[in-house]
Amino acid sequence: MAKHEPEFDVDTGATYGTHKSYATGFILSVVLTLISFYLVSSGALPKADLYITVGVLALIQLFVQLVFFLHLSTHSKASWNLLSFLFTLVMVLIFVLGTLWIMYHLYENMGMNAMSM
Amino acid sequence: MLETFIGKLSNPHEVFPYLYEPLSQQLIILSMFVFIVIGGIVVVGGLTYFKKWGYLWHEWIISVDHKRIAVMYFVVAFVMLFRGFVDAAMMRTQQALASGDSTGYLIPQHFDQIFTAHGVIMIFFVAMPLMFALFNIAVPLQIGARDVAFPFLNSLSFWLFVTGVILVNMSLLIGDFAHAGWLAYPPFSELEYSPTVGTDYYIWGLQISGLGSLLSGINFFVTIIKMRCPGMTLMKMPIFTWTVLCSCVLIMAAFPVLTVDLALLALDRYMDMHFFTTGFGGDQMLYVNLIWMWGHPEVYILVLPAFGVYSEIVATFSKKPLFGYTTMVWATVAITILSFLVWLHHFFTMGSGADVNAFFGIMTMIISIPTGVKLFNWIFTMYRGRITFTSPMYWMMGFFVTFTIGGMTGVMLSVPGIDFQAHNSTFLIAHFHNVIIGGVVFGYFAGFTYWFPKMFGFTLNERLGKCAFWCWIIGFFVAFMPLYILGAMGMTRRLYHYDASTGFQPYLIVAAIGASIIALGVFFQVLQLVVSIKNREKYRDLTGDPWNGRTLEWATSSPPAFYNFAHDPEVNCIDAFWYDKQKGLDVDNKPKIRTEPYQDIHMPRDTAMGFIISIFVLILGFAMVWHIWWLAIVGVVCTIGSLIIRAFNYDIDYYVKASTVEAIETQHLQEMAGVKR
Repeated sequence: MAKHEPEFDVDTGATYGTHKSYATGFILSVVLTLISFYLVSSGALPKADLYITVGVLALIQLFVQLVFFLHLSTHSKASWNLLSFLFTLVMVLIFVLGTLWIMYHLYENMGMNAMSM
Repeated sequence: MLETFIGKLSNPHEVFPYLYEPLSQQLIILSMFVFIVIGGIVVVGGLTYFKKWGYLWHEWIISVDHKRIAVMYFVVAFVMLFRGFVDAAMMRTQQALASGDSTGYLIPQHFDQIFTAHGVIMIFFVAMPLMFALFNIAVPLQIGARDVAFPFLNSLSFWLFVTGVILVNMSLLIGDFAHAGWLAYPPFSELEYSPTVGTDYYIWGLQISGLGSLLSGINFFVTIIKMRCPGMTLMKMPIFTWTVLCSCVLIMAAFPVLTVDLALLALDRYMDMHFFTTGFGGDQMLYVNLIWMWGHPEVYILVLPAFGVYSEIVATFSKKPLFGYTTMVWATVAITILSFLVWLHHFFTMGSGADVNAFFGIMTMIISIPTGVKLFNWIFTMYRGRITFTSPMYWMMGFFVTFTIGGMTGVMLSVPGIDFQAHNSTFLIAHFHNVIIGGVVFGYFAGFTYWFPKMFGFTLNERLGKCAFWCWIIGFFVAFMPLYILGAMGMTRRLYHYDASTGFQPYLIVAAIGASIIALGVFFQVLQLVVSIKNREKYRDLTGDPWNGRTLEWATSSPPAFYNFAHDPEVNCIDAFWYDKQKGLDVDNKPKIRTEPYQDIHMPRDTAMGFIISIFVLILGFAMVWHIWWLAIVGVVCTIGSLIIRAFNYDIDYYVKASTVEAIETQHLQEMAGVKR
C-alpha cells in the first residue's frame, strides 16, 4: 500500500489492511483450523472436552477474522461498526440461547428425547 | 417428457384446479376472471389510447427518485388493500352464513386459501409497502437529503416487492394458493399435506418481496446515518425519522430469520429434507419458534413508523413542539430492543415450561410501558395546544381509543394462563386487528393524508376524509367487538362451519355488518381521491407547507423538484424550520430572498436495471413454483448477469447545471408570487 494514502477510510473509519495484517490473519486462521482438525482426527480428547475446545477455537477464529479481515476496531471513527457488531452479537445470542432454552424446555415437557435428533 | 420442459404445468389438475370444482365455485372464479380481464383491458387500453406508455416508462418505471417510488408503492399497496379487503369480506360472509345445515357459499379449500391470502396480503403486500411508501416520501426530505443513500437499490427493492405481488396474484389464475394459514405452519405446509403449488407460491412470493424489504431496510438505515443535513445530530432528527431508523434496525435483524425459516421449509418441500416434518427427527415447533422470531419484531417494524407519523401529526396540528422528545426517542429504542424478547408469547401453548412462559409473559407486559410513555407524550402534546381538527388528527384520535383497547387485551393475552384459554380463538383475532387496524392502518392513512400534498401539490378533500374515518372506526368496532365475545364463547379462528346450537351466528352477522361499514369507508376513500383529483386546482398548495409544518419536508416546494432542495438546508435544533418561520427566515437560517448563486447538484441517473433484474427474478420464482428447472437456471443466470452488468456501469450519476436549478426555482417563485397577487 502506498504511503500517502490515509490509514483510515474517511467515510467509514475502518482501517485498511496491510499485507502484513492479512498474512497474520490468514496464518492464524489456518493454524486454528488445523488444531481443530488435529484434535478431531487424533481423538486425543474425550468427547465432551472436544466439543468445548473446538467451539472455543471457532470463537477465537471468529474474532481473528473480524479484526484482520473485517477491520473491526475500537477507533473512534469506527464506533458505528463496533456498535452494529455488538448489536448483532446481542441479537444472535438472544436468538440462539432463547431457542435452545425454549426447545430444551419443550423436549423436557413433551417427553421427547432431545438426543434423537 | 413434457414435464421436463414445463414442469408441473403439464398437469391440468395443478394448473386449473377449479375446473374440477362445483359450479358455484366456478362462478366465483369466473367473476374474478372477468374483473381482472376488464381491469387489465381498461389499464392497458387507457395507457395505449392516451399514449402514456413512454411516460410510464421514463417517468416512473425506471425512476430512482424516492418521491416517485413512494407514489408507486402507494398505488400497488392500495390495489392490494382492495384485494385483501375482498378476501376479508368473503370470509365474513362465509362465517355469517355457514351455521347448522348451511355450509355457506365456499368450499373448505377455498375458504382456507382466502384466510391465508388475507393475512399474507395485508401484512406483506399492504402494510409493508405502505410503510416503505411513507419512508420514501418523508425520510430523505425530513433529513434534508437529495435522495436515499442507494437510489438504484431503492428501485430494485420496489420492483422485487412487485415481483412478490405478481407471484401471489398469479395464484388466482394459475394453480392455487397456500391454505396453511398466513405463517404456513408445518407439518400442514409440508409436501405431505400441501402437495399443490400453493405453498410454493407463498414461499417464493415472500422470499422475493422479503429480499426487497431487507434491502430497503439497509438503504434507509444508511440514508439516515450518513445523509443528514449539516447540523442535524441524531437527537435533532424529526421523530418520524427516528422511528424509521429503529424500524430499519428491526428489519435488518429480523428479516434474515424469515428468509432462513422459509428456505428450510423450501428445502423440505423441494429436496426431500426433514427440518420440520413429523418424521425423521424433524421438528415443526422449531419452524414456529423461528417464524415468530421474525414475526414479533415485524409487528413493531410496522407500528414504530406509525407511531412516528402520529408524533409528527400531533405536533403539527397542536402547534406545539412534541412533548418529551427525548423520552419518545428512548421509548422507541426500548421497544426496538424489547421486541426481540417476547416472541414466545405467540406460542405459550406449545409446551414449554412455566419458567419460559413466565419470562416471556413478563417481557410482554414490560413492552407496554414504553408504549404507554408514548401515548402520554401525545396526550400531553395536545394539552393546551391549538388543535386543528383535520382528518389526520381524526385518524390519530381514533387510534388513541382503538389502540388502547387493543393494547389492554394484549396485556391480558400476555398472561399465559389466560392465553391458554384464548389461544387460537377469535379473541386473539380481535386483539391483533385491534392493534394493527387501530395502530398501523390508521397511522398509515393519517400519514398518507398528511404527506399527500407533498407528493402531488394539492390537499385531499377533508370532508370525505372524515366520512371515511367515521365509517372505518365505527365499522371496526362493529366488526371486531363481536369477535372478542365469540372468542370468550370458545369460537376458534379460521372456522369454516359451526353448529347452530353454538349461538355464534348472530354475532357473526353483526361482524359482517361491521365489515360492510368498513367497505363504505373504503368507498369514501376512493371517492375522496376522485373528488380531490378532479378539483385539484381548488386544493392546490403552492407554498409547499399546507399544514404549517415543523420539519424540513415542508421547507421545499410541493411536489419538490427532483433534487429536493435548491440549497442544502442547515438546522441547529429540533423543528428548526418552525422556528425559522417564526423569525421570517428560510430553511438555511438566511433571509428569505436569496442572493447567492445556485450550484450544480449531484444526482443519480435513472436506470431500468431494477425493473429488468426483477423480471428475471420473476421468471426464477415462477419456474421454481412450477418445477421448471431449466427456466429456473435461466432466471438465476440472467439475474446474476444483469447484476454484474449493473456493477460495471460507471455512468450512474450526473450534475444538474446551476442554470437548470435556477430556471426551476424561478418558475416556482413566480407561481408562488402569482398566488399572492
